[in-house]
Amino acid sequence: MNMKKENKSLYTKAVITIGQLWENPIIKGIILLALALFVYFLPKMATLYFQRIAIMVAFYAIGAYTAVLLTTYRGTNYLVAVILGACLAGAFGALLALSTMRLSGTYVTIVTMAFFYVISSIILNWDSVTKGSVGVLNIPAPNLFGMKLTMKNGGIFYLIMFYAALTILATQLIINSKVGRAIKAVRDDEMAAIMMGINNKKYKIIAYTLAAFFAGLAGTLYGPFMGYINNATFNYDICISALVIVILGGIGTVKGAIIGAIIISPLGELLRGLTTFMKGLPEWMQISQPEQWRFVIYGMIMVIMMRFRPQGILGGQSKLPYKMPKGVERKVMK
Amino acid sequence: MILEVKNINTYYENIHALKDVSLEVNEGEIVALIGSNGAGKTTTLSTIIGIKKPKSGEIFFMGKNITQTSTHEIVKMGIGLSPEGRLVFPDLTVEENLRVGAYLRKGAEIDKGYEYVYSLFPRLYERKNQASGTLSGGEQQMLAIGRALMNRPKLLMLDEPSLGLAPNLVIMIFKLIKKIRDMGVTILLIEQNANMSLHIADRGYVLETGCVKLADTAANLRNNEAVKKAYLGG
Amino acid sequence: MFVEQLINGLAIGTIYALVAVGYSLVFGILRLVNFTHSSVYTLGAFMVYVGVEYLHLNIFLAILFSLVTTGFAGVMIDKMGLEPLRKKGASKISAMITTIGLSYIIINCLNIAFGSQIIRFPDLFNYGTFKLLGATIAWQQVIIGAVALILLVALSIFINRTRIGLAMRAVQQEPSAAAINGINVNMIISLTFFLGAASAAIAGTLIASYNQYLRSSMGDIVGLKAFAAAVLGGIGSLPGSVLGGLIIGVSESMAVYKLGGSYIDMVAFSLLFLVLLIRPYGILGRKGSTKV
Ligand SMILES: Nc1ncnc2c1ncn2[C@@H]1O[C@H](COP(=O)(O)OP(=O)(O)OP(=O)(O)O)[C@@H](O)[C@H]1O
Ligand SMILES: [Mg+2]
Repeated sequence: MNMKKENKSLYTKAVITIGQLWENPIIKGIILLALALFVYFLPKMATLYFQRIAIMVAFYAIGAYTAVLLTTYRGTNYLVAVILGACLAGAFGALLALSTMRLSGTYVTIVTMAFFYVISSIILNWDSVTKGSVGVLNIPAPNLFGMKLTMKNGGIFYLIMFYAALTILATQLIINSKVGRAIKAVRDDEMAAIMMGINNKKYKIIAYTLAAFFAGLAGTLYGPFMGYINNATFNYDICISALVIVILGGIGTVKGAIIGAIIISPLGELLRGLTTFMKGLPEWMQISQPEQWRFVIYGMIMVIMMRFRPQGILGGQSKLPYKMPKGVERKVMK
Repeated sequence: MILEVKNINTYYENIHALKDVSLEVNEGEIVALIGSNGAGKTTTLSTIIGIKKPKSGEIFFMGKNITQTSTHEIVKMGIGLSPEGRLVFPDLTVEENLRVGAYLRKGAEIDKGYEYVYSLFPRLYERKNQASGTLSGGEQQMLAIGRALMNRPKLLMLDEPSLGLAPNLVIMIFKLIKKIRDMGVTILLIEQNANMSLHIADRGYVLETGCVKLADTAANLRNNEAVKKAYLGG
Repeated sequence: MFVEQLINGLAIGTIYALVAVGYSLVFGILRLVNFTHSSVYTLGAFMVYVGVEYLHLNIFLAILFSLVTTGFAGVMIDKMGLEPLRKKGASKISAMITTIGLSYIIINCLNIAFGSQIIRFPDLFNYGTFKLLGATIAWQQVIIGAVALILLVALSIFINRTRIGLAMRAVQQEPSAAAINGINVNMIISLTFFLGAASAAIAGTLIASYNQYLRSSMGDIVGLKAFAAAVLGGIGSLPGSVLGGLIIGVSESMAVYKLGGSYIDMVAFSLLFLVLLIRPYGILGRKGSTKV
C-alpha cells in the first residue's frame, strides 16, 4: 500500500533532483517525467534510491548517445534516431532485468552499479565512436518533416511538450492496461502476485524494458537541446550530487528534495567566491580547488547526515510547516 | 551470592521489555526462570551478559558491578550462555565450534575442555569433524551447551535448551544439566517446559510481561495454584 | 605474445585478487559493500610516495610506513564512521552511504593535496627480462604476481589456521554468538579493516610501480574490477575472490591479445553479468552467505 505513495514521491523527487543537476528549467520537467516513469515501473526489489538514479542516468545516456551519434555523424533521420535510441535503451533494460532476476538485496545494487560503470566506461573509452571526453559537438537541430526545430523558433520547446504529452499518455495507457496492472501487482507484493499466478519474471522484464525505453526516449532530447554532450554529462559525480541532495533533504519527501537542492546548488558558487576572496591572503590559507572542496563537503554531508539525521533535515516532520533546525546549515557548510 | 540483578530496566527502542527486574543466584544452585512467550526471559539473559545494556539498575557478578562491562569481558569473568536458537557457527566443524568456545583459554586447558565436553556428549565426539550446520537440531543443542562449557564458566545460562527436542532427548538434557551442576557449575535456566525445570531447580522466578511476579523455592512454585494454572497445564 | 599476455594476466589477476579479498573480508563480516576500499587502495600508493618523496625514507621503509598508516586509516574508517552506526543500530544503507561519503572525502583530499594529474612513481622491480617458451617476460610481472600471491597465501593461513582467524570466521558466520564466546567483536572488525586496508595498500603500490605512476583516480576502475572479481567468485569467500581476480585478470589480457586494448575495461563487467546470469551468487558463493 505504501509503495504507491513512495513511488509517487520518488517520481517527484527524481523530477526535482535531476532537474537541478542539469540546471535547466525547461528541459527538466520532461526528461524527468520519463525518468520518473522508470521509477514507477521498477520492481520493489530496487528500492535503494541511489541505484535507481544510477540506472536512470545510464539508460538516459544510452538514449542520448545513440540519437546524437546517429544524427550528427550518420545524418540519420531524427525520428528514426530517436526510436533507435529508445529501443536500444529498452534492450539494455531487458538485459539488466535478466541479470538481476535471481538476485536480491546487495547483489542488485552491485549489478546495477556495475551496469552504470559499464555504460560510463564505454562512453569514455570507446572514443572512436563516442568521442570520449572530448564529446560530441555541433549536434544538429531535430529535423521533423523538413522543419528545423531550434531554440530560436521555439520548435524544441514544442517538441518537448509533445514528448511530455506522449509520455503521459503512454504511461496512462500502460498503467491501466492488463500488463500495467500485473506490473503493479509484482511491484507491490511479489509473493502475492506469484500466488495469484502472475508470471513475475515476465513482468519484471517488461517493467525494466519499458522504464529503460522511456528513460532512453527522454535522453534523446538532451543532445539537441544542449547542442553538446560528453562523458562527464552522465558521470558518477552526477549520481553522487543527486544522492547528496536527496539525503540532505530527506528521502521520501518532496519538500526535502527542494530544500536539499536549495542548500546544495549555491555551494559551488560559494566556494568559487571564497577562492577569489582569499586570493589576497597568504598562500597557505587559500582554497585553491573549489571543485574538490565541494566534493569533500558532499562526502561530509553524507557521513554526518547518516550519523545524526539519516531521515534528512525534514524527515519525520514533513507534516509540519517548514522550519530549518538550528545549526544544520552551519554543519553542512563546515 | 554469585549473581545479583537489581532493578534493571531494559528497552528495545520504546518497548519496555524489563521492568525493575531483580533476581539472585547463589553458588551451586539451579535457578529456573519461567514465563510465557515474550515475558522477557531472553532479554534478562541478554542484559546479564551485556548484549543489551539496561537503562537503569545494576548487575553484580561475584561482587563486581558488571552493568556497563562489555560482553566479552563478562564472559572472561566466568558467565557462559547457550543462546536461544543455538546459534552454532554453521560452516565450522564441531571441534572448531568448541575451539571458539575456548577462545579465552590456552593450551592444555583447551584439551581438557574437549575431554570434558566429549565425555558429557559422546555424540559430539563422533561428529567432531562434521560441519555443524549439518548437525541435527538436538546435536546442535548439545554443541551449543558444550561450546558454552568450554570456557569453564562459573555461571552457565541456558536459554530453552530442550526446545524442539524429542522427549527422550529432553530427559537426557535435563539429566545433563543436573550433572553439570554437580560438577560445580551454577545454572540459570530458561525453559518452556516449566514442569521439568521446576523439578530439577532449587529456586525459580516467574516473569510476566517484563515483571518478576513470583520468586520462591521450586517446590513451592510447583504447588502454587496460579503457577499450576498458567504454566503447568492445570 | 600469448604467453606474455597470459603471464601478464596472471600477475594483474593476483593483484585484483588481493584487492577483492579486502571487499570480501569486510562484506563477510559486516554484510556491507565497503566503498572506501578503492580509495584506501589509492591512499596506500600515495603513502609510499609520501614516504619516499617527503620523508626521504628508503623504499622498503616507505612501504612499511604506508602499510601502517593505511591500515590505521582503515581502522579509523570503521571506528569513526561505521562503529557508531552499528551502536545505533542504523540500517545497512546508512552504512553503505557513509562509506561512499568517506571514499569521496579521501579521494578529494588526495586531489587537493597532490593534484589530479599523473605523478611519477619508482619502478621497484626493474630487473630486466627473461625468456620462457620463446616469450620475453619481464621479471617485474613475475615479482608482482609472486608478492601478491605470497600475501594471499599468508592471509589465507592467518584466517584458516590461527586463533584470531578462527574468531574472524566465527564473527562472519554468527556475529551474535561470537561475543558470548568471549570474542571482542569490535576488535575483530577493526582487525578486518586493517587487513583489508593493508593488503589494498600493497596492491596499490604494486600497480603504481607496474605503471610507474600514480594518480588520485587510480583506484576507481581497479576497485570496481576487484569488486566485480569478488562478486564473480562469490563475495564473502576467500578462494572465490582469488578465483574471480585471476579469471578477470586473465580474460582481460586475453581480450587485449585478441581484440586490442580499447575494450579492456568492459571485460570484467561483461563477465560479471554473464556469470551472475548463470550463478547468481558467484562461482563459489552460496545463497546463505548473502543474507542482507
Ligand atoms: N530485538 C528486539 N527488538 C524489539 N523488541 C524485542 C526484541 N527482542 C525482544 N523484543 C521484545 O521484548 C519482549 C521480551 O522478549 P524476550 O525475547 O525477552 O521474550 P522471551 O520471554 O524470551 O520469550 P520466548 O519464550 O518467546 O522466547 C517481547 O515483547 C519482544 O517482542
Ligand atoms: Mg526467549
